[in-house]
Amino acid sequence: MQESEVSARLRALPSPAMPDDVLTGIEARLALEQVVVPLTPRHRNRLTWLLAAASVLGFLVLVGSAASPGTQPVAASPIVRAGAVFEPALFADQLRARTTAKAMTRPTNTFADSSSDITACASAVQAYGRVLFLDVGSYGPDAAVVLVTAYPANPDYEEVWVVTPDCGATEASVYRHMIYDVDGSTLKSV
Amino acid sequence: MSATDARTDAELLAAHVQGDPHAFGELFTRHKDRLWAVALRTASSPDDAADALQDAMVSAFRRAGSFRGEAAVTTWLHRIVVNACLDQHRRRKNRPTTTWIETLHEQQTHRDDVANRELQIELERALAELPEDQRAAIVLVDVQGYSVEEAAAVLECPAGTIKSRCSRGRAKLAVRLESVRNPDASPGVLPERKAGGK
Repeated sequence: MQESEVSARLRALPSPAMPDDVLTGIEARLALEQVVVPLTPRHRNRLTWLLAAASVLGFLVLVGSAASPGTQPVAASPIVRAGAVFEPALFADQLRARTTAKAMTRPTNTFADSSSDITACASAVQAYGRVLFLDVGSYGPDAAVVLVTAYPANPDYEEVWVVTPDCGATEASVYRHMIYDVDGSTLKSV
Repeated sequence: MSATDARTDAELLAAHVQGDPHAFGELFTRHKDRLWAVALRTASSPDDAADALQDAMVSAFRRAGSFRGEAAVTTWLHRIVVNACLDQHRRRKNRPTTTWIETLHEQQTHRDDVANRELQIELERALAELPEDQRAAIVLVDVQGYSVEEAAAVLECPAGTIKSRCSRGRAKLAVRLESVRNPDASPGVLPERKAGGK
């Protein structure tokens, strides 16, 4: 067989299209680069800065949204709870259930009941995307605050932060930071 | 160039550096299929290709400010992708590399005759087993249709080296394909050519 025939056969090889899951993964990862600081000491500094910058405005907004605990939550208001026990192995399912479980229709706790540090923490996270859900509970064996925010770059995703309960205006320790695929109910660590 | 954004690749990259949140995504969308095709055949498996391509795109996203315009943006992107794939391939060198190839051709079975499909599968398998420098050169020049000069820019070596790598790689592939076409023929010993370049 001549080299020219080999070249011709190489040119004729199929060019498979990029699979949707690969494309989605890369687009999500690039979107993340756009809007989120990675969870490293480098961006902990940024988070600290955001905590300070957003605390005043965020406190007013979030307390305002929780000022009427007897009303049904509206889309623009975050769901605020306390006491949930999140298990790492079941976390994706638990995140999916949060939008349908009966307890979600009415907050069991509000920002007004939470410490102002938690409020400031949520306000800072809100700088990345609107807070949809917050629970002061536990994650595995650790006390934790779980925050879910909208993902501005793509409505098919949400951003999930699991932070220590002392997350506040001056410090934040992040256990996990993930992107949640709403349709697929899957989580991907950042 | 996409129908929705008339900016050149260089303009998109510059806009990204300046903070345009959509520019890099447009650049990726514009070239994703060719980048994927290169990654798929340079890495060891589709999973590795996906990981390498994602790493490469994140790297390009972050390093865009260091792009000086000495080469075309596509050359720069391909260079990052190929290097990411080769890094990935080196890390997984002991892993089987041919199990995915049949999958690649599954969708084609309805329109290809069996003999031709066997040749294609064997060609993919042989391509995956070439030394990585020859494989990368052949993927760019023969499979993707880049010029020797463009491939040289991507792989950062002289054009003569690309020609040499392609020639040696094609010779090996020819032997493999001949053995499929004429299974009774003696496989012989493939001599390593002493052509110019590396």
